[in-house]
Amino acid sequence: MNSKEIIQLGEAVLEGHIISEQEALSLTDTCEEDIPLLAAYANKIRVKFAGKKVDMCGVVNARSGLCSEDCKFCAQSVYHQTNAQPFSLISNDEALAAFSKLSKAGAERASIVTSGKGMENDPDFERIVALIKQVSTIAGIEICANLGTISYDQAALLVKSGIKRYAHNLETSPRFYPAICTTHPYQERLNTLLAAKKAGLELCSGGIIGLGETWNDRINLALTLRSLDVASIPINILNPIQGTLLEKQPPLSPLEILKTFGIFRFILPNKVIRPAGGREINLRDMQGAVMLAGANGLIIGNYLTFGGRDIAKDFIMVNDAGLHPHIK
Amino acid sequence: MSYDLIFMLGKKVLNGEQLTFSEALQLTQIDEADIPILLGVANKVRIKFTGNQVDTCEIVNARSGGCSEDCKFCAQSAHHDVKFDSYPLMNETQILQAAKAAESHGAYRFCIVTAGCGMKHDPDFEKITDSIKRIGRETGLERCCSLGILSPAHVKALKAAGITRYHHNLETSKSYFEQICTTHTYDERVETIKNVKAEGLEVCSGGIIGLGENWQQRLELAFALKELDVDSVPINVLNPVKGTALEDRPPLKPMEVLQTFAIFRLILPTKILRYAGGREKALGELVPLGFLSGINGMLIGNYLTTSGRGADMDLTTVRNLGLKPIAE
Repeated sequence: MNSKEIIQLGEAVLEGHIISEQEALSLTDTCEEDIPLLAAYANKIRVKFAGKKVDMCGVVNARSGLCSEDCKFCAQSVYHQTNAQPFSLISNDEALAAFSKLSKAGAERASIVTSGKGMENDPDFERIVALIKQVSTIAGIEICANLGTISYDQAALLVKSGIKRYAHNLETSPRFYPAICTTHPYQERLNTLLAAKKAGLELCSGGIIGLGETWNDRINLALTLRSLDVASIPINILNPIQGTLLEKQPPLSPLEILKTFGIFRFILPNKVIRPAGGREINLRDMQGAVMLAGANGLIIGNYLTFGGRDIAKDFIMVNDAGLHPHIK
Repeated sequence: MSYDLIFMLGKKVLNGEQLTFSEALQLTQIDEADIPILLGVANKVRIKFTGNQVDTCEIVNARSGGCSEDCKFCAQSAHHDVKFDSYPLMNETQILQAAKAAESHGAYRFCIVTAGCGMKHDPDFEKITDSIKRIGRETGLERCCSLGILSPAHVKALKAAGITRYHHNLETSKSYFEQICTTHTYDERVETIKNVKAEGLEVCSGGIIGLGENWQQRLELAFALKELDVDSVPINVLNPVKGTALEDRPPLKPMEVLQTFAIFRLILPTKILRYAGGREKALGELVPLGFLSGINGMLIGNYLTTSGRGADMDLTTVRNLGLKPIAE
């Protein structure tokens, strides 16, 4: 799109227009010099429909590695030889300490994350539910869960134990998905999201960009997430981990990343769009810019298998952009 | 509807027309949510009139401190009690070393800066011209200098030594200048710039924002620079140095700083708008956004009495944004 078309479409979205796949695809044709304008409209859309608040969320890796699945990007897959240290389910005390630490650092929510395909016949599930009940007692932080494939009954149990939001990424588009993972189908991921939703859970679901997918795939992912009415969309940017199949994948340029966030905001005006893992390595000092390109959430602190940056820096960045983190 | 105004005025500038003072003043009043749009428009103006190049300049503080003048922001004024290194003129070898270092950092220009009111009866003047000649013989750098107030005879001697551009800030508007400096006049500064131009040298002249000036006065500076038809406009953002009269000055908001750059770009579409001192402190992680808001030049390395963030980091940022450092 040229600048005039971006403005027209931006104005339409501000008036409540729901953009079509064709319109979203045209946005991907925006030339480099107009990306700041696209980002500026994404910012306006975000301020109008989602305000100036930035949702700060942390993750706790509660069980790591030895995953049976072959997701090509993942350091925790048994198919890859990486430096990520596997460990079994952490104790309640360890979980309490980890969530308390995030709460103290300013996170308003944090997710308990476990490796593995999911909770079907998983002997840890009961312990996880007990653990969630215990960490739910920590004041001032909302606990989310990210346990892979779950059934409706399990989702209902999570609701009872205090979980309001379930996190489960679609990762990429249905078309590109078989190139990323062959051990479980896309439909299984959709089924989990639908089961969680049916049980009354909000959804946090996004993916990873920079896997080698096309713009079409990215748009398709965004539209799929829109149709599922997910509340929060974490967008990871591939951090190619040595030992994974994608270790040599070339990085996206920071401007292409900004453009992606901007287009996601056009498609999902009122949702939380959250830069997640890989933002430090890929955006480098452009992380402030992405907060003015439609993003309104962050994963803060460390990620599952690699470190993030100092949480205080993210709070300063958000304030510098004229935005407001949830202040405790 | 301030975005209508932004696009109307942006289009006017893109069509080659001049922004009036009252139009520029309207751009200072826009809604905060529309500031990124103004930045996007300034980026388009910058690309159209100056391309994707970024001019790089490194300075050397060749004679530091003990200055007779009372500029309220300045660490080098004898009127302030500031802790920093004061030293007489560096010798030719030291200045040459600084120039060679600047060239290796990626600087296209090199500027010799000396403390003091100017070159009247200054015994160092001849040594400085010798150093300039030497740098011309031993490096490929464009040579600039910033020596304060000059007579026409000084300008001739500098030109003969190989200087292509002279730096002399107006600092602020005529109406605010007396609040900032009482030991020499704004008109003396203008006269030096006119002397320099009369000899056919290019001029680098800008100022400092955040001194306490209002928007009207900031724009007066921009229009004075436009009237003088200077070639390069360095914009410093006050870094309040302890011991100066402005040590307690509250900082500008980052978004206001970016807005200032963008409005300057619309007033001065074809000129070099140059990042200078204080940007790191004022903008934090929004520094890269300046390059998408109208900035097309920068000082790299350190400033006179404060440190920069390192040439490598700045040049990487520029390349990441698809822009081209001029020396590459």
